[in-house]
Amino acid sequence: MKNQRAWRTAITALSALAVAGWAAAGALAADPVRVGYLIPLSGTAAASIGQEMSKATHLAVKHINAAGGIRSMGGAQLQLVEVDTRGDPKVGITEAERLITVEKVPVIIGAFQSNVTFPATAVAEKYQVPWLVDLAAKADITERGFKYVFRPTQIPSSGNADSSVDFVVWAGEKSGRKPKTAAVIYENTDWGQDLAKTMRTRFKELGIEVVLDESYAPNSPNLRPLVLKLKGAKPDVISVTSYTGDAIQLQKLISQMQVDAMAVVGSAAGHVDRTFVPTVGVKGTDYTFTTNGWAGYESAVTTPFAKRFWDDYVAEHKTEPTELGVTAYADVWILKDALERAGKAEPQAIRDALAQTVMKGNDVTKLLGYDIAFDEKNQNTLKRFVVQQIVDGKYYTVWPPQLTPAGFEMTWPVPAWSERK
Amino acid sequence: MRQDRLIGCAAAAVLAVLPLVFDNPYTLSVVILTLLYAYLALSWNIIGGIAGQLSLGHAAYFGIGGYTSTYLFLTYGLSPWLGMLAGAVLASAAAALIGLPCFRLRGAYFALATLAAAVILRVIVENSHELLGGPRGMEVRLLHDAPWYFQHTRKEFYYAVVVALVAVALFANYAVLRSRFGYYLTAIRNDEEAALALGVNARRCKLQAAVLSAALTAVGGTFYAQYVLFISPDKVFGGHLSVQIAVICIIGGRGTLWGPALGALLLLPAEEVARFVTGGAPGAAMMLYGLLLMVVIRFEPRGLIALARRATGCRAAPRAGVEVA
Amino acid sequence: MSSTITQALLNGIASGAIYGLIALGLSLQFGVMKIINFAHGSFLMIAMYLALWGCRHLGLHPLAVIPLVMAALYVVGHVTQRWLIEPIYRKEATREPIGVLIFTTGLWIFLDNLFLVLAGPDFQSPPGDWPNEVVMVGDLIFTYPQVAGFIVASAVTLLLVTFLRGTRIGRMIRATGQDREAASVLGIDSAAVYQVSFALGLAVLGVAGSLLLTIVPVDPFIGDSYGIRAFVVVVLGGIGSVGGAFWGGILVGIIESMGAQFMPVTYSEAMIFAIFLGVLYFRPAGLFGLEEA
Repeated sequence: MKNQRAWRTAITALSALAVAGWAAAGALAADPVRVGYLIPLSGTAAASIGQEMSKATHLAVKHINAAGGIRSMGGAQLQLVEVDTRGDPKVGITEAERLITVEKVPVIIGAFQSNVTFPATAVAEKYQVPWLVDLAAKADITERGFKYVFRPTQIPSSGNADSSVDFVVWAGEKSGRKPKTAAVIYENTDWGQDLAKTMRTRFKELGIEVVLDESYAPNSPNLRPLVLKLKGAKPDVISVTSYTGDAIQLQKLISQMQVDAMAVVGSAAGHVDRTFVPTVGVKGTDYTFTTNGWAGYESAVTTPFAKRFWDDYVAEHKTEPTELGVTAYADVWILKDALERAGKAEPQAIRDALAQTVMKGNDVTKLLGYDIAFDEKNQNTLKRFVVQQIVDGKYYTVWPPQLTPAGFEMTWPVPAWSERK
Repeated sequence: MRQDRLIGCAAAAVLAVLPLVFDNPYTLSVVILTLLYAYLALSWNIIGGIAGQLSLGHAAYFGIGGYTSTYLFLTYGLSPWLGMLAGAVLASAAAALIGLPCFRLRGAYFALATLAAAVILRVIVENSHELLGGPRGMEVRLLHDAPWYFQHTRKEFYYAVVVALVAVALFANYAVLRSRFGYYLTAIRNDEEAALALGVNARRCKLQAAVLSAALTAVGGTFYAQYVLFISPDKVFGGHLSVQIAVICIIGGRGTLWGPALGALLLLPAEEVARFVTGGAPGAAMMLYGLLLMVVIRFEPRGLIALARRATGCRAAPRAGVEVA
Repeated sequence: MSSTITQALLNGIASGAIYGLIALGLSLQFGVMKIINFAHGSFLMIAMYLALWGCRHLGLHPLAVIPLVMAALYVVGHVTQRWLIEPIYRKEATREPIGVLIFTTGLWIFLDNLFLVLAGPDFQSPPGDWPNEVVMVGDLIFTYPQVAGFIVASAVTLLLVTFLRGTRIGRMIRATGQDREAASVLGIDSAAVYQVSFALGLAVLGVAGSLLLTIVPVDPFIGDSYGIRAFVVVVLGGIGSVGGAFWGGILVGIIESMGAQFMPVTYSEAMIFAIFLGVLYFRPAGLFGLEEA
C-alpha cells in the first residue's frame, strides 16, 4: 500500500517535473543547475534523519523552481542528483567523485554524518567543487584550511554543549536551585565524545562535580545497566547526548526506573527527533529539557515564506518538520542565494559567491533563527542553540529567555517521578 | 596450470589498458575498490578457502594494518610503506595469537571464535581515546603528491598499487595451491582426521596459512587508510567487513585461484549497478544485492567459478580446491 | 547486598531471560543443523514488526499478540526451511554448510532493506501505557514487561524442554542434533526433523520478539544488535542443549547488568565476547551443556 502510494507520488512528481521542465525549457531555454546531494537514506540508524532531510531538500527545490528558478541564469531550474550514502565513508567518497566527474554537478550538499562528510569533502576540495555542509558537526571539517567547503547551518559540537551548560547555569541562578553535581551520558562516537569533552571541562570550571561520565555503544541492545548506574550516582543534572533509538530507550528507562534529578538535558539530535515524544510517550518525556538547533514553530514560523514551507511539508508528509528538515530546507535557499550572485553554474563562480554570502534578517534567516556569514574558515559562527522544555508532548523554548513564548513558565527543578500523575 | 597462466596473461593485459579506457575518475575508483576487495578475498582464500577454516574475523587484520601504518605515520612520520610492513607483522602476530586457541575448534565454532576476537579488538580500539583516537578514528595527514608516503592526488597511482597487490595475492595463492603445503591444507580441509593420520601437522599448517592470510589482509588495510585517508573502528574493524570479505570469496568460489577475484568482479560493480537500476530508492539497491547472493548460492553453492566452468563446458583437470564436494 | 546490586542482578536475570529465548530459537537451528543463520536477527525484527502490527491494527494487548506472532513465525520458518534452506543444505550435507551461511547473509541484507521500504526507517513502539507500568518492591522497581518477559520466557523454555524430552518428535530432534549419522541409521528422517526444528525455532523467536517490543522500540536494523549475541549465548549455554541456551542467556544478562556497575559500560560487550572465547576454549561443550552434550 505504502509502496504503491510512494510510486504514485513519484510518478506524479516526475510528470509534474517533466511538464514544468518542458514549460521552462520552452519559455526560457536555460540549462538546469544540477545539485549533488549526499545523504544517508538506508543502511544505518541515521536513515530516519536522512529521509526527513531529503524530503525537505526536495521541497525546497520544488519551491525554488516553482518561483521561477535561478533568475540570474534565465530562470534555470534546480535539479537534484540525490545519492544514498548508507552511512559508509567509502560510498561517500566514491559517490562524491561520481557526482563531480560523471554527473558534472557544480556544487554538492551533504552528508549529515561527520564520518562520511569529513573524507568526502576532501574529494570536493581536490576537484575544486564547492560543498555545503548541512548538519555534520565534527569541528575538523572546517579546520583543514579548505577553500571549497562551507558550513552555514551548523557549528562544531562544542557549541551545542556550551549552550547546554550555559542554560544549566542560568536556570540554577534564576530558580535559586543551583546544581552541584552532574552526570554526562553520551554515545561513544566522535560526536558524543566531542560534546562530552566540552561539558566535562565546563562543568569543572563551574565547580559542578561530574559524578558519572559514561559513554555507550550507539544502538545498544540494552541500556538498563547504564541507567541503573546513573540512578545510583544521584546527579543533580543529567546530560544525555544520543541519537534517536538510544535517546528513546534512555528516556523510557529514566522514567520507568524513576531516576530523579533537577533536570535531564538532551543534546538535540535524538531528543528533537519527531519520533521521540510519540515513542517514549507524553508522560515519559514530560519536563525533559533539550538543546535544539531550531527554536520551534512559535518563534520561527512568522513569515509567509516559513508558513508555506511548514504547511506544504506537513501536507505532503503528515508530520511536522524538526531542526533537520528546517535546516535542509534552508541550505538549498542559501545555495540559491549564492547561485543568483554567481550568475553561472560553474564551481569557481559558485564558490566565490558562497564565500561572499551575507544573509541578515531575511526570510531564510528568520526561519533558521540566526544570520549567515562565513568566517575565514568558511564556517558560519552565528548559529545558536536554544534550550527547550517538553511539556505535554510540546517543545517550549526556555533559553535564551527572550524567546520563551508568552505565558509559559519553565519548571526547574522538575517534579519527582513518583509525584507525577 | 597452462590455463591459469593464459588467464593470468589475459587479465594482466586487460588491467594494463583499463585506465586508458576508463579515464573517468569515478569508474576508476569503482575499479580500484573492486580490485581491493578482490585482493582481500584472495587473502582470505588462503585460510578460508584452501585450508577451509571459515574465518569471520578478518576485519581484525584489516584494521590492524590500517591503524598501524597510520599511527606510525602520524606519531613518528614513518612512511606508510614501511608502516604497511609493520602492520603485516603485527597482524601475523595477532593471527597466531587468535589461531593458537581457535584452531582447536571446528567449522561453525571456529567461525564464531574469530568473529568474537574481532569484536573484542574493535571494542578495545573504540576505547583507546588517547592512543588511537577512539571512535573518532584517525585521519591521515594530507600530503597531496607524495608517492614515498603512499599518497597521490592521481587515481592512477592507487590503481597501479592495487593491481600490484592483486598480482602478489594471486601469486601467493598460485604458489600455495601448487606446493606441498597447499596439498596439506586441502587435505586438512577435506578431512582433518585423515590428514592427521597421514602425518600432516595440521595445527602448524593452519597456523602458517592464517599468518600468511592475515599479513596480506593487513596490507589491504594500509591501502584503504591511504586511499580514504580516514579510518574509524566501526568501518575497518566492523563485523560487516569480515562477513563481506568471506562472502565475496565464497560467492566467487573458495579454494580456487580465480574464484575470489571473480566474486569481487561480480559483487562490487553489482552494488553500483543495483543503485543505478533502482534509481536510488533507499533500500532497494541493497535488496537486489541480497537477492543476488541468495540466487547465486541457491544455484551453485560452489560459487561462480563452478558456474563459469559449467557454462564453458570446460572440465579442467581436477585441482586442489574445486573438486571437494 | 545494596539495593543497587540487587536491582542489577534481578534486571540482569530479566533481560537475560529474553536473550535466552532469542538464543533458544537459534539453538534449535544451529544446535541441530550446525548452520550459521545470519538472518536470525532479521527474523527477530520481523517478529517485532508483526507484534507491533497486531497491537496497532488489531488493538491487541502486547502480550495477547504472542500466539499470533508465534504462529506467523512458525509459517515463515517452515517456508524458509522447506523452500530456501533445505535445497542448499542438501547439496552440501557432507561438508560444512557454507552455502547456508552465504544464503542467510543475503537473506539478512534483503529482509532488513525490505522492511526499510515497507515500514520506513523510524523507531516505533506499541501504543498504550502498559509497557511503562511498574511494580515496586521496597526500593526495587520492575516494569511490567520485565516481569512478564521473565515469566513467559521461563514458561516457554520449560514447555520446550518438556516437549523435546517427552515427545517422539522431540527426541528425534535431540538425537539428530547429537549425532546426525547415528540418527539416520536409526531411521530418523533428518529432513523432516530440520523442518520442524527450524520452524519451531522461529516460533520461539516470535515469542521473544513480541516480548522485546515492549522493552525497546523496533527499527529495520534492530536485528544487528541481537543476532550475533544470540550465537554467543548458544555456545555459552552449550550447543544442542535447549535448557543451556536459556541459562546462557541469563548469564549474559547478569554479566552485562552487574559488569556495568563496576566498569565502563562500553567494555561489557568486549567482556561478554571474552568470556565466550574462554568458554569455547576451555569448555567447548558449553557451561550448561554437560547433561545433554
